[in-house]
Amino acid sequence: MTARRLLGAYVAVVMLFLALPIAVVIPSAFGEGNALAFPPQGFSLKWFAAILERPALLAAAANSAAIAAVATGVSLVVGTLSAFALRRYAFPGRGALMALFMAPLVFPAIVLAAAIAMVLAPMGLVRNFWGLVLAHIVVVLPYVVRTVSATLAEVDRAWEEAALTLGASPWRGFTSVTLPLLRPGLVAGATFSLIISFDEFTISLFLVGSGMMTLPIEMYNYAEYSLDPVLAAVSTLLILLTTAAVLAVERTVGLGKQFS
Amino acid sequence: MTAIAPSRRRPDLRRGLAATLLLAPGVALLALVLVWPFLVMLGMSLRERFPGPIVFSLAKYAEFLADDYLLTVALRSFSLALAVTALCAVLGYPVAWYLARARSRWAHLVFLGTIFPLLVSIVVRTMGWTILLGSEGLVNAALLRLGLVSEPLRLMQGFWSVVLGMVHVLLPFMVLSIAAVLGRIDAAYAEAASTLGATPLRGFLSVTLPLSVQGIAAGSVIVFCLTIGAFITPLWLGRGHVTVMAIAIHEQMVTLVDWPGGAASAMVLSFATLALLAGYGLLLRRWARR
Amino acid sequence: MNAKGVALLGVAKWYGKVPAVQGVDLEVAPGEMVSLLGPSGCGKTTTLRMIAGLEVPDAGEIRIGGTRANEVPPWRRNIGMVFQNYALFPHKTVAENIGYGLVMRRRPRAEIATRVADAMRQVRLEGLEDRIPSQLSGGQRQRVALARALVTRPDVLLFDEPLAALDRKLREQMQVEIRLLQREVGITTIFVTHDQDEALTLSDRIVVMEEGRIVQAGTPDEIYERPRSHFVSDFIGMMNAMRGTATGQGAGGLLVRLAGGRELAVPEAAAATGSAVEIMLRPEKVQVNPPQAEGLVLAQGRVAHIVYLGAVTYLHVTVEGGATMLAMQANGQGMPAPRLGDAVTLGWRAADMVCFAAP
Repeated sequence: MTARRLLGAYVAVVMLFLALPIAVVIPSAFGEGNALAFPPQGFSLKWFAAILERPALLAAAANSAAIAAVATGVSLVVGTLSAFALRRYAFPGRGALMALFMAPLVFPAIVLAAAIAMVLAPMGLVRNFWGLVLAHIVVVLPYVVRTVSATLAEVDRAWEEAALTLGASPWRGFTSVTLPLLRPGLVAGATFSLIISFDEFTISLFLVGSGMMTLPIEMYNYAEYSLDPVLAAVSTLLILLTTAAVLAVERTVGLGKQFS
Repeated sequence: MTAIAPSRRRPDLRRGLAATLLLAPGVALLALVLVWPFLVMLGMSLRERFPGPIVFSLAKYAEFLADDYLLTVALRSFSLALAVTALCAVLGYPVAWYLARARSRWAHLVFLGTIFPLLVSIVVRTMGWTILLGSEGLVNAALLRLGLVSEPLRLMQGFWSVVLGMVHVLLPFMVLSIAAVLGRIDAAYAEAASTLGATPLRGFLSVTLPLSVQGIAAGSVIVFCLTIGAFITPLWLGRGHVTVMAIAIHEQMVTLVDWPGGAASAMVLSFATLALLAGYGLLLRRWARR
Repeated sequence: MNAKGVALLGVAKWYGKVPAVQGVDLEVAPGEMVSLLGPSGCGKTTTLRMIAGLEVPDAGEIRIGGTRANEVPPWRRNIGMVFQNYALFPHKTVAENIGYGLVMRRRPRAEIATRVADAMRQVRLEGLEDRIPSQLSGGQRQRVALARALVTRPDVLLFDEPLAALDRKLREQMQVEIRLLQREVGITTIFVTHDQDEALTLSDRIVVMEEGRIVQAGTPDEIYERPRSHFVSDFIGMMNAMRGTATGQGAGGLLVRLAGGRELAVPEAAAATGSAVEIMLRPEKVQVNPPQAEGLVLAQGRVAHIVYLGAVTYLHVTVEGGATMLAMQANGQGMPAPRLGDAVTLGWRAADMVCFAAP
């Protein structure tokens, strides 16, 4: 039993290591002083109010949200179709194709970023909403394909076949049987996709410019000249949003299965 | 009964068409935004000047190999990736074990805690590290108050602060890879080892650990690839003092506007990553045959 | 009832270069219940899936109700299929599962409701309408699957090892229920199983398959009493197998010289003189210490092992020449039970022996 305690204590320390750098940001947002400090002096909400006086941050947040929403919507459809084909059909080169779909996950982001910028620039898609959307789709696609195909592995083919023998065409069988059973994977995939896209930095760095900024890059630029608690306030809001999203997914569909 | 030769397989054709249609949008997207850009980048790396005439040569690769600065940077990226991977494996294994085996009621929270850093914005994480490790940060304040140091340590800007930041965000990949494999190993193996006289430690070392090597390998490949290509974490946590490949590529392209040179560096980085993945693929195939 | 016959003409299927089914000819009459029996990998499930339309044959023709069905997709074949492990939709209630086929056929809602209710009554599931499959017992799931397959009034009912997941007692009970329901509805039924008892209990006709081919088809008693090969007799039930050489036709039938030197005459059998043959004899045909020995083939031996199974006892008897014979005795018939090491006489009717080429 002591070994078990030891393991528990060790895991607790690792959890602390993981949580601390994120958790310290929150109190810093509630301080009264002008410098980012911990522990903060006094208590105020003025830095949250100050966010509203930074139109650049607000505009960038709106851009990021819109890009994340569109990229997620598209990759959800495209990723589900692809995952279905990759899981349910045997064809030569399937393994290679699966690797291609996963490639953006491990490929050096900086290379992808520069390469995409090189291609999109002549098309006038740099400093452009749709250029960012296109790039973000490729970044989040692996997450969607992965969660959906993990869920699809749990959807017994016999269910689909049973639907066929009961008179459902493949399309009706898909919408009435497969799709509802895929819901957990879709919800989890969409959540990851939204978060990943919203936080994406490197690839956007080559595609943003005046008039079309994303939030992480706007925050980065802001921090270059002043590291004040406004950023901590924005960060606190982001942490709250992420936590809420993760807990919501956890409560409705469970995360464990979708993320391995 | 007469023998019947295999006829042309019409049904497969129909299924093939369905698979093609399902894959078409995804493949088209990847071709447009992944494969094509990669090829453009490859082409760029084979030029001598951009803009300029298209003369294909390996000059930029030769320059890379002759450039002490770039080679140092490459070596730094490599050691960074090695350090981060090793730390993740050592740090992550017990957590993975806890998730897969301990049947604790906390396992769920630990799982969420593990993946959380991955989902939190890099900007937020960096700010946290600054608050913790900055010259006026929490750690320095504590050290000063305890009288262990007389002036603030430069904890940021160093190689190890980058390692710390990378481990922080990449640990979930390692933990989940190992936990997935550990969860599949039948606990009866370890029990069998103990009935055969193995102490728990020897049972672990001789049975469970070798069986979980695949999980460590899978996690290591992901962590290594992600570290060697990392850009934003070294940039922020190194404060310009830890130049890695990705930062050098960015410098070459954006600051020096040497696109062919940057592209050549990018290709070196890409091929290193792809070679690692291919090698891992071969390893997987060998394991599958066992 | 709208039962339709099913016919398979030279049907074959390859998976890549591996032949799964190699030229199967089979005719199933309207209303008949036929089981496809064989070990795993014999092609029985592939055959069933081709009838369902879930696999398309590479050669040959499948006819349902006399018309070619090869090109008809499963959703237009009007079949009912009960899957292995049932394949009940986990996200739908019992009533929704049963009504699914009717919804796909775009029946009016009121009709669906009454037909689902009728089907549930038929399989004795009243009151479970709103349960989901994971809340049901194995037997209940089996009934839901059956109701779901039958409620659309299909032309053909197909079963893919539907009872494999149930424990023995429940399985036997369900076998009887399925048979009664099938007779009541009068539907053409094709049943895949690797379980010989299941095939014997349920079928009008058993089709034994091996390596993608039909090796014998017949009524249960034909298959059991008159197997045409070692494979069939060994697969269905227990057997005594005696190897020997055919030495020609005698007055009592085919003369077979056994390995030990003894010569037996097997009625109604034929084999080329000099060919290696096997004589098959079911253990329950072997009497132990028969009260009347006239007309029986006799053998002396010693009891080497006893297997008591409650209703019956199996005796392993070492006979002259060193061979072991298996005899089955029904218990509770007042017969004195031999004990281990006892000397016994075994006797059986020559007509109970079946002879075929040695494997």
